[in-house]
Amino acid sequence: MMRERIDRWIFDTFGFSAEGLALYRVFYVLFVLFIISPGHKPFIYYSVYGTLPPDFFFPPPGPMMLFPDFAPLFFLMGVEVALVIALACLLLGWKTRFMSIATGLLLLTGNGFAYSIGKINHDLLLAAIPLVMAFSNWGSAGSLDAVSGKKSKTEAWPVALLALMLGFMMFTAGFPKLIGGWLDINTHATYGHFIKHYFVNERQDLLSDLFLDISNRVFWESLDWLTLIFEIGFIFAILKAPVLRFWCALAIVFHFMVMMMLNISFISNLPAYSLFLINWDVHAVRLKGIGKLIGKKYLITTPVVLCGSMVLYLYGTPLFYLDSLFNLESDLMALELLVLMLFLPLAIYRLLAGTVDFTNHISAARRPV
Amino acid sequence: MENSRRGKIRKGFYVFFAYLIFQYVMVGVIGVIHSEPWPAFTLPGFKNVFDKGDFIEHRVPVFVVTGEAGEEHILRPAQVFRDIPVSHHNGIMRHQFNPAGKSATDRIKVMTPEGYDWLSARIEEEAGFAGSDRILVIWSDHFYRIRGEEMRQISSVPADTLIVVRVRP
Repeated sequence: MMRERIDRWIFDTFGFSAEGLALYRVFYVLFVLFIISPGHKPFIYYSVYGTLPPDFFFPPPGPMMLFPDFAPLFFLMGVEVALVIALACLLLGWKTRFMSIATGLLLLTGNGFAYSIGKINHDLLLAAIPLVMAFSNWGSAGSLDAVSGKKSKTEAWPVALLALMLGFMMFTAGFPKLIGGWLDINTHATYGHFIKHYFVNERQDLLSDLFLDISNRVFWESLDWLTLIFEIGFIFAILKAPVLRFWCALAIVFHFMVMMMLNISFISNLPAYSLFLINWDVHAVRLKGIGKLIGKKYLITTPVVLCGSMVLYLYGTPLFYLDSLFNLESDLMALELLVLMLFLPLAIYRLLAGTVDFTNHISAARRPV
Repeated sequence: MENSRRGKIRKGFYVFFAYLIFQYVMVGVIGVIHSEPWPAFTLPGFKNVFDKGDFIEHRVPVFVVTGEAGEEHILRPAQVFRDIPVSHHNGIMRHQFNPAGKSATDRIKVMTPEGYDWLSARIEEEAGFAGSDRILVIWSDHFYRIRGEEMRQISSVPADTLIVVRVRP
């Protein structure tokens, strides 16, 4: 009985059509190329670590300890260029499984050196997505592989595996809060973090002034409790697809509010939330043209994608120019603000739709047969 | 055939779930002894609750160099590590220029000639001069008091100093 339930969760809960997975693949690549912008600050900028002397090499416990020093500049630039080429090939769906694994490994290699300076960014899911999704056969449609007849049945278990990773990671964000005293009604942890960021780190953009005016203790304590319930609740939310969709919508609202209050963004988890938040199958039907662009017009699409990717690598995403339009005093980028603002309406829609579905479900259950 | 394949994947999930728990325990243990392991499937907990009422205490490092005429120049880490993403600056200072990691009588960081020259060149670029044969990293405790919509820094007390020198041949 238990085994059947586990099997149902692994193999049936998160199934997508080949076209839905293809659309998600395109979304992931475009997100990394246009938002993360490999080769440029602040997200993926590996080459700068190749210019540092060995004194600064402080690898975190793990595989990076096997290296005596930062990799040379030419190697780290090579990782950046290879990453962009792998992403372009992944977008086109050429040797999709190989390119997915290459993308994941290149991200891990570059991040490994970037995090050997004393600070780790917790963006492991960004590398885990292509590594895991390589086995979902997300190149079975809308790809050069599909054109050449390499079609395989899509797999749902990699999506379930990513759900497990996401749920567990969010749990690890909440658990220290639980034992650290966030539920103590005499302390207001969120308020403490907010005050420190506002005054000490001078993060005073967006709605931070508005929050400074709020002195209501119930308000601040409720934020502590809601944060903890949201983060720990993730590990239970992964058990049902509609609940996980609702929780991922909550996650986007949560990150949006953190950005508005603390001027800190955490956008590297967005591709992981999007996998569960967006109904890729429905949108794939609406956006059939994208598949045709790759599948039938590949003689035009292929050189455009390859050249476009290299231009993005050389000059960075044009979205960086948004910073010159918005005058933000904190280290928050206008690009991060824009991305979370774009996701917010979708998240709110999902929250409302999820609430209506839940209410209807309860009403139907109470109705006499 | 399909059942056997499913069985293998299911077992893979069991193993991975056990690994997630194991690595989380290891992150907790190794994180206390050394520093946070990588890669690990974890997110930061931000467990601090700041329960000191209206006071906030924050330890801040600066680089200090002295010119030939005795003039001092103070540089923030953000200036020295301008090319490195901002999110890494605190980590660099905490792990690489923190006197707390040294013995009480020997708060000296000895750098290779290559490393010292790099740091010195960065400081010269920002400050206009490289300073003498040593660079100080002074950590000060800044105390702030919240009053309504304002917070004032009420004191800044030098707490610890690290002396950065070039290794002697």
